[in-house]
Formats: sequence, structure tokens, C-alpha cells
Amino acid sequence: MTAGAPLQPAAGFVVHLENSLSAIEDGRVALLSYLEPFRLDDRLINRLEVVLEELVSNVVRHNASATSVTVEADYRDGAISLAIEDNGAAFDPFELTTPSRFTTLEEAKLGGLGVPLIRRLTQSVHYQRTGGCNRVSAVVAAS
Amino acid sequence: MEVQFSDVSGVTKAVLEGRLDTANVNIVETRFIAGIVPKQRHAVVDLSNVSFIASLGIRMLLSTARALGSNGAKFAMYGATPSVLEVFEATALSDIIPVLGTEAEAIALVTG
Repeated sequence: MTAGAPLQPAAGFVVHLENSLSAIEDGRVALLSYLEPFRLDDRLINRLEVVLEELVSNVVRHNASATSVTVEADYRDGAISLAIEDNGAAFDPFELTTPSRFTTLEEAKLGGLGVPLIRRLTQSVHYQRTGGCNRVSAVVAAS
Repeated sequence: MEVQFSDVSGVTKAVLEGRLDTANVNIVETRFIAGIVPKQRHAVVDLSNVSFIASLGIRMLLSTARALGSNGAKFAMYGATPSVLEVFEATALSDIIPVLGTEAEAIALVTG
């Protein structure tokens, strides 16, 4: 469980996907379709796409025991609450050591770049193990 | 996802086009690295037609720059869109790999 604002449910949009590489693109296309009427600015959409990509990609690439991935979202008051849930083995990506910020090309670590990117592009992000599922909830805002 | 290579004044120029997301990095990474690193000379990357980048794309650029640097060659990027620039800044990639506005600036930096 990571620090930040209290867990916020995401409910306005829900899509259930098989745990496969195509889930990343399928989830993105479906989510953008839900958000289209809100006419959000490009900066917010890009942040959301990056966070979604990292969270779903984490499941697809690192949790082979999961068979399904669910993406939920809700847009309210200028921010998007996003939740990614999978039914795989318990896995909290935020427990992993976050690589230190790049200082030189030679010392930069090649792995583990996704988690710090999620942290920097979200207002808050949380992991929960609930009902036999991993659930990561994040809030993405324009500012 | 497309990548094209050319030679500009003895510098390898790579033009990436499309989304550098998980699926596309899987497709383009080997070709991108193979088109730059074995030549062991300075390289610049045109990002003006890259609409999206996430951590695997950052890793691809970082590993290419590092492999090139270990051979004493320089690596720079140019033309990044605001969306891509925000991710560069969030990961601090732009602190360790130069990101310029134009091809001429990038060529001048790696050959200077």
C-alpha cells in the first residue's frame, strides 16, 4: 500500500479484458471512447494513457497467473480516477525498490522505470489485495 | 511503428514514427538498436512523429545511448512533442540524453 489520498473507487467506465498483450491497446481504445465526450486536454489524456499503459503492461508482462484484467475509470472535477484489477497472484508493484533518479548515462538503471513514472504522473496511487485480486487505484489530473 | 535510417554528414539519423508503447517497442527495438549501435558513430533520433512514449520506449532509447556511449559516440534526440517531452522530464531522461529542437541543433551537438 502506498502513500497518498484515500482510495477512490472508479466506476463510470468498466471494461473486462483477457490478460494478453492486446489488453493494453484494447483498454486504451475503450477508455478513450468513454472520455471523448468530456473533451479533455491533451496533457491530461497523455498522462492517463501513460499510467494506463504502465499498469496494464505490468499485469501482462509480470503476472502470468492472471487470466483477466479489468479497467475502471471515472471522470469528475477535472481528474480521472483509474483502477486496474487482475485476478493473478498477489503482486504489489509499489513494493519494489524505486530506481534512483537518473544522474549519468552510465549509471542509469534500465529496469523498473514504470513505477516511478506512474508516481510522477499521478496525484495518488494505491495498491490493494482484495477479493483474491490485485487492484491498483490512481488519480490523474491535468495539473 | 516505423523506423528509417539515413546518413547525415557522417552521423546516423534514425526517424521513428508512431507510438512507442509496449507492443510497438517489442516490434521495433531490435531493429532500432541494430541500425545505430554497430556503426559506432554519432547518432541523432527524430521524434517529431512519435505521438506517445512509456517506460519501455525510454528503456530502448537509454540502452541505445549507453551502448553507443561505451564506444565513444554521442547520441541526441530532437523534435519531441509536448507529450513525449513530459515523459522525458518525468523520468529525467532529458537530464542525461540531450533533447534538441531541430535536426541541425542535434547534428551540431553530436559533431561539436
